Amino acid sequence: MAISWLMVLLAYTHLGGYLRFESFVRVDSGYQIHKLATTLQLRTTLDQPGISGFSALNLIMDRRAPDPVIFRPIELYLTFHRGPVDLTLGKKILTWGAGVFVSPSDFVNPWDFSVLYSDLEEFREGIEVADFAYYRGNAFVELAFLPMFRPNTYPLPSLQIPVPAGPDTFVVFMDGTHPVLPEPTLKKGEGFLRVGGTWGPMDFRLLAFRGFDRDPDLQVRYVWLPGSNPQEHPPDTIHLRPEYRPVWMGAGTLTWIVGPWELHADVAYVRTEDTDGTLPTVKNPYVYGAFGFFRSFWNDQWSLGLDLLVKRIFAFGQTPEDPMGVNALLEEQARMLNFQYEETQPSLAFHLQGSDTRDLWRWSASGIYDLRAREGFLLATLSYAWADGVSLQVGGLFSGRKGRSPFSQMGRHLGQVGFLEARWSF
Amino acid sequence: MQGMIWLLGFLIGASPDSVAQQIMWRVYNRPSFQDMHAQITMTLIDPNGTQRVRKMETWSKKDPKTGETKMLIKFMEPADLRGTAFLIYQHKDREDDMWFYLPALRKTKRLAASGKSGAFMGSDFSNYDIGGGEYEDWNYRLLREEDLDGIPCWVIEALPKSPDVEKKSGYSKEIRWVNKENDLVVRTDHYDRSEMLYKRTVVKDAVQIQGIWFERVIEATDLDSGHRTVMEFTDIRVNQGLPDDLFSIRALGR
Repeated sequence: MAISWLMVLLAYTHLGGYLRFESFVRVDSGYQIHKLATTLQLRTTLDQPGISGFSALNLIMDRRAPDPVIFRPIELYLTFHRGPVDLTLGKKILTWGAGVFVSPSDFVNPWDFSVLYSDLEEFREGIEVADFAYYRGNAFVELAFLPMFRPNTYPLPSLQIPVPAGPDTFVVFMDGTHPVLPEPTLKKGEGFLRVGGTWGPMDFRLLAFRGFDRDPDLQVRYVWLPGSNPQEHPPDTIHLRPEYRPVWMGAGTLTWIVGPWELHADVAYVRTEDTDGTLPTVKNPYVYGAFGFFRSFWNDQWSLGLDLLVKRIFAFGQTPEDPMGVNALLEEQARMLNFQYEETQPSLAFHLQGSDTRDLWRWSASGIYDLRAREGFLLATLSYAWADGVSLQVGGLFSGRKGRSPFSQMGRHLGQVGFLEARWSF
Repeated sequence: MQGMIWLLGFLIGASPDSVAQQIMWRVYNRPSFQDMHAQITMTLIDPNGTQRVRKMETWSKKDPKTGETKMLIKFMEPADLRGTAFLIYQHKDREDDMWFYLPALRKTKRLAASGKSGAFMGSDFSNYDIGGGEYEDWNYRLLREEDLDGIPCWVIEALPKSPDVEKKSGYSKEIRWVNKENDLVVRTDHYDRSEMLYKRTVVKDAVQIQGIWFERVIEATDLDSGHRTVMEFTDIRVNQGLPDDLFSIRALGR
């Protein structure tokens, strides 16, 4: 029975995928091998009247990983179609936005900053969703429920700091290995409403999201020694853990075609629990915008996208001072996680790509440069199509070391990396 | 019949130019399908004989009121391009609307309709060749009548009406051989912007579907490099009543 069911399923599905060999070395650290891996991806596509589906499953064999063989489901979902309505159930990548490299409205699907050099589907692994959409022409209304929270992935710090406070000394423990996640209950589920449409040369999208922040704040617990008076003495220890807190987001994007230019704006307002900026361990509300263009040159052989990204933190610097200086200390620790170092944080993001006339050679460079911190992130690749479905690629990932954004933090953890990839798609 | 029109034009004093305009008007306004589906195989052949194959599935639909066309193209091969899709709304009076879906990014993007003279998917066809251009883009002149591989043809020179057309098409001149029997352009010699002959497109096979002639196999050759591209249409289905929502952003990512 199971075999015949499988045969029927296979008859209506298309199988594909790729086999990829990749080698990464740290060019800043004696050419240490960071990754030496073979990945087999199997993709299944189903497209029948009334139902479609997709799955992508990766089997990764990495000699340098703690687990030499990893099975990683990237996406697995089914979409039921009836007239103008789609209902999608499963694990799906939800990437949005109009920005060339980073889109402020692209908030819902988490990022895995530790594998930024990989394909998008690896650093934006899907999220479980029940998604209802109604279409009318190119206009749509989409309502979704995300039952379980999933955070952005990047190494969270664990450290211990002794802090002198008058005659006393207290210790701050930061435990990045045990973050506090929202309870996995339906009540703590997340949701969004998205509407969009097309009007002549313009496309627009509006989004409202209620859920949890993908980046952590801090949970703080004070411990006093037995017998000491909290009014007179600082705590003996302060225990800190990353904690993912509720947020509300409203966002909008606009794309406008003017001659050969694609102009765009993508703006998000994120309201956090610290609306007046007085909580040192919780990030302040902020607005984040990307404004830029995309256009191609020389018969579409080159294209360039450029964005000015601006993040404006509300109620910045409103944390009340305290005699022991604890709030200032907590705020400093929180900034390592929430990256709210400046009231206004401008950056430039770009994506440049090109190819030869036969589309055999392709090159690209993507990056972000923080104009205040003067640090950035650059991913550059050069690939050659050896045969149909067979490609060779070399590239490099370079990032700043101040770590004032999740992107530049990778410079601390990953270093400067060169890589080689061979891929056969089938 | 076409010979009669040519003769009639001559007798009433019409210039070869106006006869050429009439012929090309008929070429551009041949009866066409309300909607169409086809599989396209594009074989790129380099001078050494090495072949690369691109396969696409395409659907198109014409609005009978406005004459504007909507088109959906999905790439099937090579495997690393599978799922890439384009949605194009061709307008008569303004730039086309274009969106494309990149499966690697799981994202639909709006595109500016630039770079029409660029190569289509690395082939010897330009985006302008694929889009077909407009009758109004060119001035026409009848050069002569001659047989091409036994097919009686009109040979017509087409010159861009404006520098803008020359720029977007990438051609300073075209010489077109029009089959007198069915008004199909069976061969075109393309001259680049320095007025050098550099490309030739030839219809290798044509079929009649529901009384309408259709170019089934077209070959484009870069005369400088010897690189060729053969585009073949198969599984051609016409006037099936394709639904409008097939030509929507919703359908791009499916």
